[in-house]
Amino acid sequence: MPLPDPNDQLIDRMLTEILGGERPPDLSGWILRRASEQAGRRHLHWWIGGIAAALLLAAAGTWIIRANLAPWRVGPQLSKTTMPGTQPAEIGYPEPEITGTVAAAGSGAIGRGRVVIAIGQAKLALGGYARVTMTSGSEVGIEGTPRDEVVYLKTGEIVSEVESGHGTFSVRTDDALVRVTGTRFRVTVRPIDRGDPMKKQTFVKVLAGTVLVSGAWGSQALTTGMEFRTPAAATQAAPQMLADKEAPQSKSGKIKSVDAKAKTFVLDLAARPLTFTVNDKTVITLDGKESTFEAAIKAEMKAAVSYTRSGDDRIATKVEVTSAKK
Amino acid sequence: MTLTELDSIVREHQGELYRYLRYLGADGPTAEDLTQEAFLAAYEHPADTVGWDSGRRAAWLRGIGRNKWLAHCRRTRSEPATTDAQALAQYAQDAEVVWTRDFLRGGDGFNYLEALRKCLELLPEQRRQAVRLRYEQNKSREEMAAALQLSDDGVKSLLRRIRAVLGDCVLRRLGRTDGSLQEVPDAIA
Repeated sequence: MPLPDPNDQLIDRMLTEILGGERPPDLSGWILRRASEQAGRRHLHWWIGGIAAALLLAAAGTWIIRANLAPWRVGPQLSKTTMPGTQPAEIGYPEPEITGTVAAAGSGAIGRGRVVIAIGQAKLALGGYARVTMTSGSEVGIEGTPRDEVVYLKTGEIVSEVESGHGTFSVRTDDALVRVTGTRFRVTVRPIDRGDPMKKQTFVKVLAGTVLVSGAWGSQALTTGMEFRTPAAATQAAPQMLADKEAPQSKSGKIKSVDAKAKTFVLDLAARPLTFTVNDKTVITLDGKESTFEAAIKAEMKAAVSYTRSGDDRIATKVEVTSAKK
Repeated sequence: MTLTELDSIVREHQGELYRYLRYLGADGPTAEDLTQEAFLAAYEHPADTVGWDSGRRAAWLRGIGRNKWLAHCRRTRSEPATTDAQALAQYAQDAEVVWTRDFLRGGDGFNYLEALRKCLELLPEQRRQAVRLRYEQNKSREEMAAALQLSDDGVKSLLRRIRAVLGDCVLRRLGRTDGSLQEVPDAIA
């Protein structure tokens, strides 16, 4: 099959956008979360490397000291002061710490890469220099890296206090980025109208110091006492970002594994395996006939999945399974 | 590159990169995956982008995205279907030239889209109907053939001709990049 002509392809693409209504989706949350996880893994590797180095040096030190104490050992004793440092650079850096009651999806310790919802007032300490107070119901993602702390405020209100001279601190929302180096400020994300919770607006008030707010609409520096809200047009400036988050997408491939308890299954795709969640609203068919999760979704079966995204999850709206015989 | 810098770059360039990957031939979910991978690669191995303007950063990200797409095609041997890696790489290069020269034209492609909208209005009714069936209603070639009373090949040729005419019309409206002046059409065949 011949390759397409780029000129023809360009018109084809743009007609699909203009008439088919296809728009680029907003992937920023996903990319930031994955980058944050990568950074977290790097951080973990430093820790493991540091601990391994410490153990190695301790073992070497013990061997040398024992050798020095041995009667046949001749030569200078190894002084404690000549022992090289064994602590990796980031070992002393505090991990995120939460006080108060929060709910978090998934299991394991609450740390970078996790999203928490405050139940009552909760406080988050980051890097020893940033303190975030969350009001009840606020949903916050911990996304930063050491000395570049970032929280993602999905909804609710937080007040941040940042000591200068230790690192940067940013609050990210869907339509703004508030960046500071030392200040106290409040950020609120709330729906523009009650009828559509997806349409949100960010409000910023500087309680002390200076902050820089930026977004698709431009940027604005704020000083003590100033209040700012992202223009309602900011959500209109990127209508596709809000709309396409909910736009159904589809993938097809072979089912790799099934978790009947969690009602999830993994589809083996060329790029990478993806997990989909099935709920009560999911329409499941087997060879074109309506079916159930238990009857239709089995490993090695072929499936075409239509889905929407909800946070980290891919929620299947329709799963069309074809049995192996077909 | 810090996460804050990455966030800023993603917000500025994700739309164009996704659109570019779709233009190269990636389907929607693949373009999404490759866009994410390209930004993560940029984050993992950042270039010294200090002093770069937005256009240069976009070209750098397109380069990363293009390589990701070529690797994806080699892995899956699809989109567009070919097994000739050299031809595919040449196609990607040619596509980049058309993208920057004809679509972006030093901007973000907005002018191109506006010109295409205006050219669509100039199409005769039968051709406009064919375009609507294909791009608005997403009809298959067989369905289009039945609706337009044409053969399958007839539909294919018609769509190719329409795209060629529209492409020519857009470039006339925007002015060709070789500097030649051309009359802006008020109707197209």
